[in-house]
Amino acid sequence: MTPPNNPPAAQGMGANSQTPLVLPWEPKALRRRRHILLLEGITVVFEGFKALNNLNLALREGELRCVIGPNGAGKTTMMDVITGLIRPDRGEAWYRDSLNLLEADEVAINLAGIGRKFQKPSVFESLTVWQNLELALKAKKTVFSTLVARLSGAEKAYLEENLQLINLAESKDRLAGSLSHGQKQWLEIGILLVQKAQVLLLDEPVAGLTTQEIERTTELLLSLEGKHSLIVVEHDMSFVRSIARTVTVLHQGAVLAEGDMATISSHPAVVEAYLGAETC
Amino acid sequence: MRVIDRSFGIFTLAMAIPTFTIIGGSWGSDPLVSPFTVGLLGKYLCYAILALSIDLVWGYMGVLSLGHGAFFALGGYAFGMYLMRQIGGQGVYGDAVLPDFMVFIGWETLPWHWRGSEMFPVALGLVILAPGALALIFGWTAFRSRVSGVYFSIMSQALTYALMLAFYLNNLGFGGNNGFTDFKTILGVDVRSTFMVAALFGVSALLLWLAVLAARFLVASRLGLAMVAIRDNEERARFAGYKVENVKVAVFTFSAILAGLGGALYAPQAGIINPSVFAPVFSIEMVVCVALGGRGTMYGAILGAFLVSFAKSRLSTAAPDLWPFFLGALFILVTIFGQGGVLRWLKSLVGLFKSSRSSGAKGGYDPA
Repeated sequence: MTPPNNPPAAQGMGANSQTPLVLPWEPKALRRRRHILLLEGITVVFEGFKALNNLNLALREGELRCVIGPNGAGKTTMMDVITGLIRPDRGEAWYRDSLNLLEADEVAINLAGIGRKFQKPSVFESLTVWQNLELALKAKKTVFSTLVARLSGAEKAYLEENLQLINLAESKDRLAGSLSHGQKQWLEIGILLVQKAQVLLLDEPVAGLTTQEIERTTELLLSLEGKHSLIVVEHDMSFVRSIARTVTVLHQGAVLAEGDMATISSHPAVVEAYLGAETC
Repeated sequence: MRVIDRSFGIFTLAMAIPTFTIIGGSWGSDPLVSPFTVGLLGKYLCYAILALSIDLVWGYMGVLSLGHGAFFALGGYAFGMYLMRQIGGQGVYGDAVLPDFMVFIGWETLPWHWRGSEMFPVALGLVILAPGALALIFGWTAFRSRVSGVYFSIMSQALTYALMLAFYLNNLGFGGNNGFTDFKTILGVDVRSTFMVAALFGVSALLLWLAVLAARFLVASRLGLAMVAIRDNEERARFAGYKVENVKVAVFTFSAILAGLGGALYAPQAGIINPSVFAPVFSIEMVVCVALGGRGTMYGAILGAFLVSFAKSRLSTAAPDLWPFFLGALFILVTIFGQGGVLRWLKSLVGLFKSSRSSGAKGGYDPA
């Protein structure tokens, strides 16, 4: 992964759109094909308040992108738009060039390959860890095929492999509700992995984790880079520093700046809006 | 969870031994078990089937239906139509085709929706189709619009209430507030004969056993996991790729068909089916059965149905006015103290007993 530089071409798109590698003259279809996820001009208005204001975001295949920004900057709203929970008032959102995210429902978006970890860890608490994964496993999910589905040997091996990856192999028969907060976070990541999600949207994956758990999560996410495309929303700046390649800073519903950590840290607007307020 | 495990074995024995004993004891000129008792127990079995169907949607999927009596009643009415036609010329008015109540209100020909009802296979088809179709339409409309929680409960109650009002109308052609009664034969056999009473009881027991087996198959499947997932976190289930509304509609319809089959067996054993079965209070009574027995366990629903029915038949002969208060108090007590219901208490009793004998008792609570 090469740290992208801001090409001069981006200047033509206005101050809010320093998105690298989005060329203004490029035909839309081509641009969609080059990205796994493309948001353009997304605006969401809640009772007069612009939660997202002409937001642009372009994610390339295999990229690990961190999104930071103060509370209310629109990070979670952005994820809601991508996963079909909120329909924006304006703009376009595409998954590759195959799925218009603004027309598909949550299930279709998920089945196409976009997985989401919620801010509050949401796993199925009265199912075991194993059952959580079995349920999430990529498979035909119509009512009838779910009724007759049985795990094949290969599928079992696949689940075991992912259990190792999320460090829950020993807890596979425990109820998910009895897991620690950190283990729930991992299980939820595991749910996305066995879904074979191409795009992982992770809303605060290290919130409330111990230092060791954060280290483990860092390793996990770095190992996914390249195989999956990730958007990580996080407040923990040291964690962001440790995994970030490209960082997008949201502020008041729009992209304030985008670039590698060094560029972002020295960006005057960012310092003023966000990092300056940090006490760490 | 495995479909056939120790709990199912115990359940099968607990069903088979009394069932065969009662059927065996109901023969002869001076039977051990009176036909009245057999019929009463048969009715309880039908309530148990209804309670089980409620547990399936409520206990496992988190959809609280306060109108499941409607499906039970529809099944009962569908089979009741056949029973009415079987009366034939033996009725009070002696009309070979028209049931008594139609003659009484001055109808001269059989209305269109009664056509074919004299045929047993048609009656069976209708028993499945009527509750199934209603559940499919109602469920599809409600779940697709993402009506859930207490709103769904209220809607289901409104549904059964509206049907009750409709079935009170004489012009609907279902006997108005008297409903169907005075049944004579099924497949040419007298419904009051020892054989038919025992047969209906036996079929009810068999249906309950099969229903538990089918429900266990459903719950043990991945679809069963999806049901629990929907109960736990509906939004997450969507983000795991499941079309929540489809799962809900399918399970709800299956549950309604089960309830309808229970109702079909109820009508001949109770000897009457009338709009009071559509009354919301009956559906709520059944929900109380499930809560009392322990929801999400199946066996708990069945146990609860027997306990409540038994208490009702005792109390309503002693002090009929007190029954609704008793029911209300029971519901409140179960909600406050009885998380997990009677079955849970029994389990912990057995657990206590076991752990006092051997210290290596297994802890934990099996959710499914």
